[in-house]
Amino acid sequence: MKAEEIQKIDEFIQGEITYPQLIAYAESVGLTNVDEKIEWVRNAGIAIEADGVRHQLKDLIAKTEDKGSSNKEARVLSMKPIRWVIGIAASALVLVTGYWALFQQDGMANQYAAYEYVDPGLPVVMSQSSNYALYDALSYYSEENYKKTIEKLLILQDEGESSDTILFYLGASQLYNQDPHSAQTTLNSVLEYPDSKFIEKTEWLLVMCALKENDTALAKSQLNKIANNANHLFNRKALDLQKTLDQK
Amino acid sequence: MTDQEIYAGIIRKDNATFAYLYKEYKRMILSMVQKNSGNEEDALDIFQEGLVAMWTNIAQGKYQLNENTKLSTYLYSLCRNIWISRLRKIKPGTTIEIQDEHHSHVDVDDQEENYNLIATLEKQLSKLNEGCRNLLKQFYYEKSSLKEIALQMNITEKTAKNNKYRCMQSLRSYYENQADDES
Repeated sequence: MKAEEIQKIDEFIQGEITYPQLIAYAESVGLTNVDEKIEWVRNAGIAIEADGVRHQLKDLIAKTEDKGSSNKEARVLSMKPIRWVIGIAASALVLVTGYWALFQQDGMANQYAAYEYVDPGLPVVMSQSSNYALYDALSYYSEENYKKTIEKLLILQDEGESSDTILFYLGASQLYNQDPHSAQTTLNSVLEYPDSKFIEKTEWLLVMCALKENDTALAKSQLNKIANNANHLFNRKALDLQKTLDQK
Repeated sequence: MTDQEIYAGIIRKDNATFAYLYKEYKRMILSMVQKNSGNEEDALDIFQEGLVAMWTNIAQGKYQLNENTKLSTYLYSLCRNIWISRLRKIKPGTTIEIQDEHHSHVDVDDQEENYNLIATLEKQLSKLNEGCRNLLKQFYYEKSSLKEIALQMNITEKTAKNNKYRCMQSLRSYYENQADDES
């Protein structure tokens, strides 16, 4: 099989093209035993996903078991005198509530985690950068020090500097720094630069902001635009997330 | 959670659904494994394996919700079968009889072959280099587009496409060689 052929079969499996379209393609390139090849690509894809699910479960079980041992500890301590019992019971309640809340949280937080995109930052070389302050801020960004990045970029803005790059990395840092509300405002400003290379990433991060804010309606409306553009950087993720949100 | 909610949650690999299943049914699997020569560690391993098998069968359309079988019964049956297979490997030649008078189970033998195929493919994945595993995981598990993968890996979309092709071919060749070795 050639790269293009695997690509076409993937498109068929994901419902992007129909079986007759795939067969027409296969005939045009002389691809034989199409059904057998579909089966192979489908099984390989499932096995790769199953491997991902296995890792997901390993992490989940490990976390849950850790929580469980904390609860066991609380039970042993409850044998102490009565004035301690009240305090310990309260602590146990907090632990149990925390445990329960962790898994009963609205699925939005899960969706955010599942579809989160962390932009790796710009490969800025200091000697090539005409703007040291921006270089400095982006260095903090690449170190995942979002608080410091925000601080540095806000100083740049106060000094009258403005560009889609500053706005994008400021908005992204605000989002990763758990401030989706500010991130939304900043990222919407990036959209005022229609030729920006950050537009597609910005649109996706705005979906992430809506998820963080538990605003399903906004997330869905922002997803539509991405899902309807087959060439969008985040088209596959958008289609997948759209299906997930529709099932809720 | 209703069976329908759980089913939808499993399809979308939802952590909260997996956590719910773990919380609700861990004891049931623990009891089955411990009553049948296993310990807690075995039970956790079997439970995880059972969940992966359930996800796989649902993702492949080999199992669909029906009024006659509850999802918990299906999960129990998968774990039971996996534990029987494990015991057969530990104690070859002995007759395995599972004590599970408190739980009903359904016949999932017909799905075993299919799950074994996926599990074998999954094992071959570990033979790929880290770059390949990462690329394939991004495409098939995280549903990233080639364009997105290219951007993340600082390569062109065409290179991402060619790399994905090479990784899939390597996986296929490891799988076929392993099948040849076994025959």
